[in-house]
Amino acid sequence: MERMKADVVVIGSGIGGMCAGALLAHAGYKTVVLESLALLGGRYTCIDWQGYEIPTGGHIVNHGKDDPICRTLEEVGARGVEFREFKIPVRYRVGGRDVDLGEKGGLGNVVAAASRDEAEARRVTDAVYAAIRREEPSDAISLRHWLLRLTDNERIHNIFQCQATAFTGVNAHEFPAGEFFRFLRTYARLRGPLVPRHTGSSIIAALKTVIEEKGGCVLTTTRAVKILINKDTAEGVVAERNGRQQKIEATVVISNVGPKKTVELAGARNFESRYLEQVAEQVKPSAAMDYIIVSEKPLLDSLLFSTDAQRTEAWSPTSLFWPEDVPKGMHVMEGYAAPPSSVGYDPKAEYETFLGDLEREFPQFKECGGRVLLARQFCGDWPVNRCFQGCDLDQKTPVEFLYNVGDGVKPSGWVGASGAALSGRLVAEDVRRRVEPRHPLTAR
Amino acid sequence: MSVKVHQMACTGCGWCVVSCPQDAVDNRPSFVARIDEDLCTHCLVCLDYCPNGALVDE
Repeated sequence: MERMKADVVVIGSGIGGMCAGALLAHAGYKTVVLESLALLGGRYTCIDWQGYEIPTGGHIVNHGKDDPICRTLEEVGARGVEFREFKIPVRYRVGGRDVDLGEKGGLGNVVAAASRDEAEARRVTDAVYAAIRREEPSDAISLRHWLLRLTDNERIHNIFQCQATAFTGVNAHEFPAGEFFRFLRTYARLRGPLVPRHTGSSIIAALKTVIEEKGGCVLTTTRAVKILINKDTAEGVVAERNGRQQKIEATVVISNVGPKKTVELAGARNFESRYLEQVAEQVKPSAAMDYIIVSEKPLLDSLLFSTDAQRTEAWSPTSLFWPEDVPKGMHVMEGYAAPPSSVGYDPKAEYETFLGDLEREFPQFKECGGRVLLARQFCGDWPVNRCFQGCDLDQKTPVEFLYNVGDGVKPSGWVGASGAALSGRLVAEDVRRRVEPRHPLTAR
Repeated sequence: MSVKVHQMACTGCGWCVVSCPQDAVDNRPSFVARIDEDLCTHCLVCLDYCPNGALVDE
C-alpha cells in the first residue's frame, strides 16, 4: 500500500470540509482533502447542464460579509469569487394577495395580511419578537405547537411553515420551537444575503486553490474506505483511487460525510455506546423536493412564498441575480417544497402536487414557454440536512482528533451552508489550539 | 455490460441526469434514476457523479 503523511485529512469536499481544510492549510498544516466523486463541493456546487448551471444545493450566502463562508474566504485570502447583493423583494402570497416582507425581514406585514383581526396579528407578532429578543420557547415543543397556543389560523401557520421549510427542509411540526427563534435571532443580527456567481462552485474552487497553494492537495474520485484509529485516537485514513489503496497518516481526521458515515468508516467498536445511541437517534435527514423551471418570459420578480398552495413552496427567480450566466433570453426559477413529513412520503405524489401548484400559482406558465427542466429530491443519504434543525451533534467525537463537520453538526441557531461552514471554522479553531503542524510546507 | 440502478440506494437527487453527456438518464416521475439503454454509451461518467453509489457497471 502506498503511504503519504499529512497533518490533516478531510473526508468530503462540501462547504464544511473545504472551509476547515482551507483554514488549516492557510495556518500551515499539510492538508489533504478526499472527495469520492468526480466533482468537488457536494451539495454546495453546480453542474452545467443544457446551458444552465444546476445548483446541487442551496447557495445563497445567508449572512453576507458576516457569514462564516465570507469570513473564511477573507481570512484565507481566497480570490476570484464574485458576489451580488440579494436585492429582490421577498413576498408572501396570502389569500391570493402578494404581500412584501417588511424592512429587515419584519414579518409584521405578512402576519397582518393573514390575520382575522388586528388583535390576532398583534398577539402573534408580539410573541415572535419577544421570542427573538428575549427568551425563546423550549425545544421540547415544535414550532407549530408553539404557534397553536397563539392561533389556529392556518394562513398564519403557513407563513411559519414557509420559513421553516425554506431554510431547513423541516416542517413546522418537526421543528424544535426554540431552535427556530435562535435561527431568526442569528438572521436578524447579521448582514443580508449575497449571491455568489456560479453558485457555490466558485467558492469551493477558491478554497481549493488556497489548499493547493499552501502545499496541500484536493483529490477527486478518491474514496475514504477506512478511518484509522489507535488507542482512541485518529491516526489517518485509508483511501482508494482507481482500485488502488493508499494510507494517509495524519494527526487529525475531519469527516464531512456525516456522523453516521464517520462511525461506519471508523468502526462502531471505537465509539462509546452513548455516542452511538446519539448518532442513531439524532442523525435523521430532512427531505425536500426541488424543481428547476426555465421559461422564455420571466415568471417571477421576487422571492415568493406561496402560503395558499397545497405545499408551501418557495419560488426563487434565480436567473435575476446573474442573468448573463443563463442562455440568452431564458429565465430560471427554482421551486422548493418540503413533503408533509421527512419520512414515508411518495415523491411521485409530491411531484403531481407540485405540478398542480405550479399551474395555479403561475397560470401564465405555458404562455411564457415554461418547462420543468429538472425535478429532484433531497433525502436519505443526500438530504437537505443530515440532522433535523436543532438536533445536530457536536463536532467533536469521542475519538481524539476525529471531528465531524457539515450539516449534521451545525451550531445551534445556524442553518444550511452557513452552519456547515461555521462547523468547519470551529473545528479548524480547535485543531489550531491543540496541535502544532508537523509537516509545514513552503508555499509553491 | 450495462449501468444498473440500485433502486434502494437511489435518492433521486438528479446528479446522474445532469452529468450524463448523452442525456440518457431521467429520474421522473418515480425519482429513481432510469437509464435509456438505447442512448447510453456506457461512458460511466454517471458512476463518478452518483453521491449514493446507486449506479453500478454490471
